[in-house]
Amino acid sequence: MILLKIQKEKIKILFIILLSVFLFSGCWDKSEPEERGFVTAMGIDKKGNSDFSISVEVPELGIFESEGGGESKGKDNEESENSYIESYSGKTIWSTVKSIDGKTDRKLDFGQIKLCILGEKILKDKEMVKQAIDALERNKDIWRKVIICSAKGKAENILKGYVGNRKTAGFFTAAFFDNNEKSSDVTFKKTLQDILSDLSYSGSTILPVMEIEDGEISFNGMAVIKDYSLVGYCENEIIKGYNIVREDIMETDITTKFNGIEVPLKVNKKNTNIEFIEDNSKVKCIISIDIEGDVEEYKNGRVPVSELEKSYKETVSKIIRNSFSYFKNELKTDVMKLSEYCRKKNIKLYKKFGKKDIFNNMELSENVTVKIKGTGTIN
Amino acid sequence: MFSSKNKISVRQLQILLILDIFGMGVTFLPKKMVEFGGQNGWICVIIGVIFACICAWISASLAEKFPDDDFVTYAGKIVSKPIAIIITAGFVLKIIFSLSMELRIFSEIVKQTILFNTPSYAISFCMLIVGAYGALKGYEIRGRIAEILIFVIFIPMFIIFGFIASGADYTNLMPFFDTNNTEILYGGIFSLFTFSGIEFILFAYPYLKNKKTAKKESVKAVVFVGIIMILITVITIAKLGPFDIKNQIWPVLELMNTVDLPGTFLERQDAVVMSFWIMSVFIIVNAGVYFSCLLTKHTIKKGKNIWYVVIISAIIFSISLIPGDISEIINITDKIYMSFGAIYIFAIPFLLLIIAKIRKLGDSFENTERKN
Repeated sequence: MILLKIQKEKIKILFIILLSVFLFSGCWDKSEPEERGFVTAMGIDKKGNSDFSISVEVPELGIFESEGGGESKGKDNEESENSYIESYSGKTIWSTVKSIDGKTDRKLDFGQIKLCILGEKILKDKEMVKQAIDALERNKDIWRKVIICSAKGKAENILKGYVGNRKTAGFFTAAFFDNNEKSSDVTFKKTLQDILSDLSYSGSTILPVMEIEDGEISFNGMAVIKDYSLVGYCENEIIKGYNIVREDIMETDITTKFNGIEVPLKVNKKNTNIEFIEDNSKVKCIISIDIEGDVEEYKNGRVPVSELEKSYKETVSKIIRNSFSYFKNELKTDVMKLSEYCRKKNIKLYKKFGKKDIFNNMELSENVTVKIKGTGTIN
Repeated sequence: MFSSKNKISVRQLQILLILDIFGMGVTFLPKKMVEFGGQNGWICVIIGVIFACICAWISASLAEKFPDDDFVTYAGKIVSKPIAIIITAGFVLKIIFSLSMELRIFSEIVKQTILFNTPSYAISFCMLIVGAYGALKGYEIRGRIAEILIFVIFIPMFIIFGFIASGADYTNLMPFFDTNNTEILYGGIFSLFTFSGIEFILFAYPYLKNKKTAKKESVKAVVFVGIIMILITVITIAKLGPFDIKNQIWPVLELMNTVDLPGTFLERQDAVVMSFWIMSVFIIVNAGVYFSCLLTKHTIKKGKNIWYVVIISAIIFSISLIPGDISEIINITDKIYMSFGAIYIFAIPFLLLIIAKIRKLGDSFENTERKN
C-alpha cells in the first residue's frame, strides 16, 4: 500500500514537472539569437516635409567572436562583415521600423540598442522632435540608458560612414562615454532618461554633437534644444564652463595663461555650491567652487603656486561667466538648469519670479578658489 | 518543526506578513504619492506607515482576544453569526477582487518587460495554478516557503536598489516640506491601502504556536515593509525626478530600466529583477487563494479544501480577465482600495474590537494558557 502511494506520488510529481516544462517554456516569445537582428544604433532623420527616415545599425553576430584589434573591414554598399545599415522612410518611426523588418531576414530587436542619433533637420522641427522622443519613451524595448546624440547633417551618414575598430558606431559611442563619464572637456553623455527629465521640467535639453570624418566619429560641442527645437550649438569652451559647475564631472582640465605660457591644471577635487538671493529686483546666483588640482606642466622652473592659483581663479571665473552669458544672452536657454536649482534651494524666490522669467532675471556671481596640491614629481 | 499540527512560529508569521503586504502596489506607489505630494510624496508614505501600524495593532489586538477561534467564529461571538457571515463574505470578495487585479497587473507588467507576445491570461493562469497548489498545502508550508523566499526576493532587490541609490540625484527631493498639508494627508491615507494584507493578521492566530509576542512582531513586520516602501519612493523620486514620474505608469519598473550594473556588457537588467518580483507575486497569490478558501470553508463548513481552491481560483482568473486595459485596471484597483480597502483594513477590525471590549468578550492569551 505504501509503495503504491509512493508510486502515485512519483507519477504525480513527474506529471507536474512535464506540465511545467510545457507551460513555462515561453513558447509564445521563443526567439533564437540567430533569428534576431540586434540593433546597436538608430538614426532618425527628416525626409521631405514631415516624413521620418530611419536607419538602423545591426552588427553581424560573428563580430563577437573576433578578437579586439583585428582587421576591421570597411563598409561597402551598406554591407560589411561587421554590420549592416538598413534605412527606410515613413510617416511614423515604428511603422518605418516595421518596414525595415519586412526587408531583412532577421527580426529587429532593440533590446540592446546603445545609441540613437537625431539628425540636424529633425532637431529644427519641434513637432517631429516631440514625436521622436515620445516614440522612444513609449517603446518597451528601448531602455532608458540609451545614449542620445545629435548629428551635424544626417544621422544616416554617421552610421554608414563609421569604419573604426569598435566595429559599430553604437559600440564605439558607448565605450567613448564610458571612458569619459567623470571627465570631459568636450562633451558629456546624455541618456534618454536625462533628456526625459530635462524635457519634462523645462522643454529644454542639451545633446552631444557627433560628426564623421574619414570614417572616424568625433564629438564636437553640444546642441541646445529649447522648447523641443534646436536653437544653437555650444563650442567646447562654453561646454567647459558648464562642466566646471556640474558636480558629476570631476576631472576637468583647466589651462591658464601665466607669463605668456599655457599652464594646465589637472583637477582632482571639486566642490560646487549654488545659492540664490534677491538683489535689486534680480535673482543673484552665487556659484561657489572650490577646486584642488595638480600642475601638469610648467617649463619655467619652480612653480609659483600662489600666483598661479590666482591666475587659475581668474580663468575659471571667466570661463563660467562666458558660458552663462552665452546661454543667457545668445541662446536664451537655461542650459545649466539654474532655474531648477533655484526651485530646489530657494522656492520663495522661485515662486516670486516664476518659472518663465527667473532665468531672464538672473545675474551671476562667481566665488572660485583654486588650490594647487601637487606639481608632479618636481617642484 | 510543527509538521503535523499546521502551526507556524511568530517569525514565520512576520515573514508571511512582510511578503503578503509587499505587493504590486509598490510599482505605482511613487507615482501616486507624487500626484499628492510632489517631490515630498515620501512623506505621504511615512504617514501611511504610521496608519498601517495602527491598523496592524488593532487587528492583532482583536485576534489576540480570541486566540484559538477562527475569524468567522469570533466575529459571530461579537456581532452575531448572520452579521459575521456578511462581514466574512465581504472579506472574501475583497480578497478575490484585490487578488484578481494584482494578478492582472502582474501579468501586464510581465508582458511589458519580458514576454511581449505571450497572452496575459496565460501568464495569470500559470501563476494562479502554482499559487493555488501552494494554498492547498496549509499554513505551515506557506511559512516554510516564505522563510526561503524572503532572502531570494529581498537580497537582490537591496543590491539593485543600492546601485540605483548611489547614482540618484537627491536634490530632486527638494524643496522639502513645500506641499499642501491636506494633500500630504490624503496621500498618506491612500498609501495605507498599499498595505493591503495587514488584515490577514485577523486570521493567523489559531495557527500560531506562540501567540504571546505576535502583536508586537506583527507591527514590526509592518514597519519593516513600510521602511522599504519609503526607501523605494525616495529613491524613485530622486532618480527619476517628480516631473518625469507623473508621465509613467509603473515608475519603479522604469527605475529598473536605468540600472547599469558594473561589469555587464548586456543591457536590460530589468528582466533579471522581474524574476525576483515574480516570487513575491507567488506569495501574494498563494495568500489570497489560501485565505479566501479558508474563510469560505469556515463559513460553509462542508466539502474538501480542493474544491474551494478550484472554484475560487476559477473566479479569480475570470475576474482578472475583465478589465480591458491598464488604465481600467488601475481605476478598478483604486476603487477597490478606497471602498473595501478602507473598510476591511481599519473600520471592521476597529468596530469589532470596540464592540468586543464593550461587551467584555474574548480572553487574553494569558487566560487561555491558564485554562489549558
